[in-house]
Amino acid sequence: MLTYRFQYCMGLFLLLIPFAIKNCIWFLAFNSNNEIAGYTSDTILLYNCLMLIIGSLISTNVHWEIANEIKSGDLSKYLAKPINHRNYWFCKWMGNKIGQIVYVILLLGIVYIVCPGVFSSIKLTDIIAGCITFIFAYVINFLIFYNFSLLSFWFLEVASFFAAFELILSFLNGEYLPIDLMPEIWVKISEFLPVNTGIYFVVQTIMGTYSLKEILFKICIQLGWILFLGILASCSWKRGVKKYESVGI
Amino acid sequence: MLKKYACLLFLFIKNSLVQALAYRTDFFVSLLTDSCSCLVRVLFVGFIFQHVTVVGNWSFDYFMVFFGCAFIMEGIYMFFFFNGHSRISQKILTGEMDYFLSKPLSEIFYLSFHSSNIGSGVSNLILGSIYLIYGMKNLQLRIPMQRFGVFVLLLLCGLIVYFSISFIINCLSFWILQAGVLFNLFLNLTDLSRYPGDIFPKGIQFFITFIIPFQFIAIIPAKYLLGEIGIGYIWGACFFAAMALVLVKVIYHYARKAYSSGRG
Repeated sequence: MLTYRFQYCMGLFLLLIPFAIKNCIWFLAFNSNNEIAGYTSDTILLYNCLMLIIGSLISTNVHWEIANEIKSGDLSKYLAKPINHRNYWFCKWMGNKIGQIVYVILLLGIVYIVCPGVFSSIKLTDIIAGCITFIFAYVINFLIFYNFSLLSFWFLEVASFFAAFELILSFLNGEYLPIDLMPEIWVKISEFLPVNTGIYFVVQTIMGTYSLKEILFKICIQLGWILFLGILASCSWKRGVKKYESVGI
Repeated sequence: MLKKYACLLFLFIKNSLVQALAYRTDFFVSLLTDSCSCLVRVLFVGFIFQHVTVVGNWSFDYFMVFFGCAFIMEGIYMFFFFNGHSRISQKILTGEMDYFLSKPLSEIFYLSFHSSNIGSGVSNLILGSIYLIYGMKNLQLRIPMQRFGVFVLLLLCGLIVYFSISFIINCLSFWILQAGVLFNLFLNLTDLSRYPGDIFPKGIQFFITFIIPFQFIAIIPAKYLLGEIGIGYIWGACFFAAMALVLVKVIYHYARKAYSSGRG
């Protein structure tokens, strides 16, 4: 991380540009409206800040690396070792998160300096609940991208697929605007989808939107998705390895 | 002379199309990806407008005109220049630049136009045009021929500014190794050219209008179309375009002197 300090700082800055633009548009919208669908300018700022922080903690790029391994033939090195590929990448990805934690501390500092009162409405109990939901959201996000990376067993060029998927998922995840501001039909459909039990769920939990009963219900949905995505990953891996030809070697 | 360059440009585009269609699925998915990228931005603003009638002084249709102009400019930039400019640093590092310097034609032209990003270009152009027409139709804008001519002139000036900033940033690769990071920064900053400067704080507004003139890329032409700016901005756009071209020429002149082939 510290070998490429300039890139690291630039990465932080790049993250802040869309964040700043998004907030400028929101503030402009709140100029003529005190409240938009239950959100005030303060709550939307808090939402965007939490989205930025939780989003950068949960985000992953394992799919790019795994796809490259499959394409180049580097995957063979895992086949010869007695390790589980999925677990290996999960642990490796968690290690990489140390850099992300420094990011988050810096982000928190910047946000706190620019908008000092933004986090004052958060309660300690909500933070604890948010931390629990975060662990499951983290696993769900990893499994979604891990499953997606295994598509590389079947398709040679996946870069565009990945880019499209990342973009669509970030929008559906509520990174641009809260899911409950989207059309009614999507709000209902997404209720049981991973998009509503990932970053969005963690952010809304920390903001104190849900009651304890709702949180417990949503955690059950999270566990269901972890089970489903875990089984899907195992099946896809088994089938994919059979198709794997190690052409790069 | 002009005919020779036009023929070359045609050949470059044809070549890029052949290359792009070699991986047909990837080409069509990249069309989809770029369309999604355009769509997501509009959806974001669109969903806000489901709950409010105006953002600042603008309705959703005004935003569609802004987005339309911005995506058209992005489409043209992506189509003609993106691939060429983004690969300059790699060419310098590998010594491949020797090949570009040895040809009997303008190096700036060759470096900029030799590879087209057809997928991104076309999808941005199509969606941009749709947004622009949609916005104009809903606002019932009727543009006289003369006004349309000035609009095209402003777009051309915007394109020159866009091209110049991109080229100058990539020219920094002649001196520093990490210019690719600056190019990423530039690509992110182009987001500022999609929204009217009035939404940003005064300092940023001044910076993106007069220091690095991102606003002149698409927003000034769009505002002219909407009748929101006066003649001063038209002269301003011409001035920035002329300045940008001079800067490109001067900076490239010095950058080229700093080049030493990477090949042994």
